[in-house]
Amino acid sequence: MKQIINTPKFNDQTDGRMKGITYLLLSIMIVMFFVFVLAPGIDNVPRVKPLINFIDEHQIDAGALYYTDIEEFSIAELNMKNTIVYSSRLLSDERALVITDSSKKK
Amino acid sequence: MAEEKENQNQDAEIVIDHGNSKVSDLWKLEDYWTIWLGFLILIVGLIIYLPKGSEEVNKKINESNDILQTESERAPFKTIAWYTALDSKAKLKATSTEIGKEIKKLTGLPKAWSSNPLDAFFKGEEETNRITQSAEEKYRIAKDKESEALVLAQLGEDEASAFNFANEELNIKAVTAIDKWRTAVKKTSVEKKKAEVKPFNQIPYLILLVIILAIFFGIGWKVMGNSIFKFMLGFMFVFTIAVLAYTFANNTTMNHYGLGYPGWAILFGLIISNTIGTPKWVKPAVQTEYFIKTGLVLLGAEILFGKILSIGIPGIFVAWVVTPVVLLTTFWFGQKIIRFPSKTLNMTISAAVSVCGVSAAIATASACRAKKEELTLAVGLSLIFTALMMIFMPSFIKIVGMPYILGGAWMGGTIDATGAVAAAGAFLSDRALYVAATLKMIQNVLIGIIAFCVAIYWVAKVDRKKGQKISLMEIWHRFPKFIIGFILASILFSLIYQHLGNDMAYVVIDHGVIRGLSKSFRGWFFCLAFVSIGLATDFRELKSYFKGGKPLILYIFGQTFNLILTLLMAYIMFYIVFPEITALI
Repeated sequence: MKQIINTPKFNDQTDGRMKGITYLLLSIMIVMFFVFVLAPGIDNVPRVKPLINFIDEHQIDAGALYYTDIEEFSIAELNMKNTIVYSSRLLSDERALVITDSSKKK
Repeated sequence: MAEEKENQNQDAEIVIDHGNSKVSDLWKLEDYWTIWLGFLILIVGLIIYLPKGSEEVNKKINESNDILQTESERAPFKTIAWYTALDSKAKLKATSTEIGKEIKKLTGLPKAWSSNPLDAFFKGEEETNRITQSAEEKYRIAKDKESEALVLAQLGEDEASAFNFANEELNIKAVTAIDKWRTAVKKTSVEKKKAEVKPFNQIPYLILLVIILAIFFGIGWKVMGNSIFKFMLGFMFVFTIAVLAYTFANNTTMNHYGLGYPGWAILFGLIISNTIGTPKWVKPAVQTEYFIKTGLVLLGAEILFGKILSIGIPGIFVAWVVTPVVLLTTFWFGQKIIRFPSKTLNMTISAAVSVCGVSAAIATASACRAKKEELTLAVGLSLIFTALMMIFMPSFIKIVGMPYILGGAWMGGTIDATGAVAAAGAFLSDRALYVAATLKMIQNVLIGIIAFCVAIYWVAKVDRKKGQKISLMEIWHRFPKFIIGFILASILFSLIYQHLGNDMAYVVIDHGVIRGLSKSFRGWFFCLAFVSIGLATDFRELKSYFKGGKPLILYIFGQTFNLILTLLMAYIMFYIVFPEITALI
């Protein structure tokens, strides 16, 4: 406490600013390391790679917040709606079950 | 006046209720301004896009529907003509009109990039030519493969048709061939997009957008008795950080892990405020509540109740049973078992786990007046767990040989973020995606009801002093008014949707007012809110919430319970109660 009182205010402010800038630069370096080194490294982990390639190939916005942000949801919704509305024979036909059983084993 | 100022200062931390209501609240209170601003955008959207639902569009819809009807009566599976008619309907979008394209450019985000961040803002002719040349070749190959797949699909369908679709083996063969053709169609569509990259310069549009938004929010700020000049000056800085957040979110590697703009916006804000400090001149524009509530009013228009009824009964049962049960159980666990110190944080995390991650956390935190640090924590936890679940759940489903439809339902009901659900679902199969997307959409719609109930519960129960009786008028005085705008937008757009019918609403609401205008602004407003949260948050305060690791324990408990209950419920609904609907997917 005594030390702080004895230190001129100007130096305190300058030290604080320098400290702040140092931390800022350090933070930027950590972010850059994550974005350009660490995350691309994880991309190459065999367990992760197939999903990563799939997201790239299909250009899916995996960070989307809401269903309206994703084109895939619009397609899925349209498909589901029309499947339910236009499926008179499908619903009355037990053979459809056989088709699904085979498709789920894909 | 001094009292009002004090209230506004407190509002910067949480949304404070006022003991009485005055007519002047309509133009003096931030909550009302968020409603006016949100509705202004929605009305502009309706004026622009509603007239696009012309007779010609209606005629095309009817033609497609006739084919769909005929085909559904002809065969016990979705035929080639059925899918072709569906594709024709899918192409009818009001956003494809000239004005739609111009609005998209104006509200556009920094583009995807991999190694050079400048690629997010600018791409010259030379560069695009180089990209399209290699993409065109891939597009040509994809088109050839699609044609080949179509020939095989047609052959399979003709064979099945020759036996009047009575031969099960031939039906299955036809369905398999049609599925392969659909996959090829999808691939061609992706390659076409890559081959159609055009030169762009996003910077002038971003400059125009920042000016429009600064005036848009600035007017309300001025009427509420503040300096518009100071606000606009600070807004430039907040907007710049928001652009930076979107830029990092659109890095291809970050997209792999679903690390969207909320995380980056908070992180960049936090870095600035906790190192060099948020500049004094920026502070007038650090208005979390102002931005977030306006975004939530716009989000209300995307909560369309009619949708959930038309996209799948089993999904409705799973979402409407599991989601409230997980929400209430997680909240109860937090309060009674681990004795969570903050009810608002407990509710925000419980909503993020049970509903749909960040968007649910935003709506619930605003409804129960959670602190900024609490929302930050819930968003952070949700982003981390989303990335992990998106990677590991599809692998697990494949390893254990779980049916993909069940797997899709499981992921749709449990992975927090909507984008991650799309990625993980599509990675399994198209059918898994359809189910996952349906469930997540129903959960998305549930946000409205949950936010409303939480707001009522907080006003009537949590904020009530011991022994105090609260009248209906008192509830009204304390009720966060923006929730009214949020619910009104939802009811209004649900009614318009219902009135137009699913097909026309798809053209002018889904792919008009919402995707063509309001959702872009909603995204920017949330991003500005998250930047503001970061700029106003002290790391030390954030650290205190981690004490004892309670938020993590709560999240893990909620998510584990969610995983078990969703899987059980999805199995019962999709395979025991409604197998005939599962068969159609």
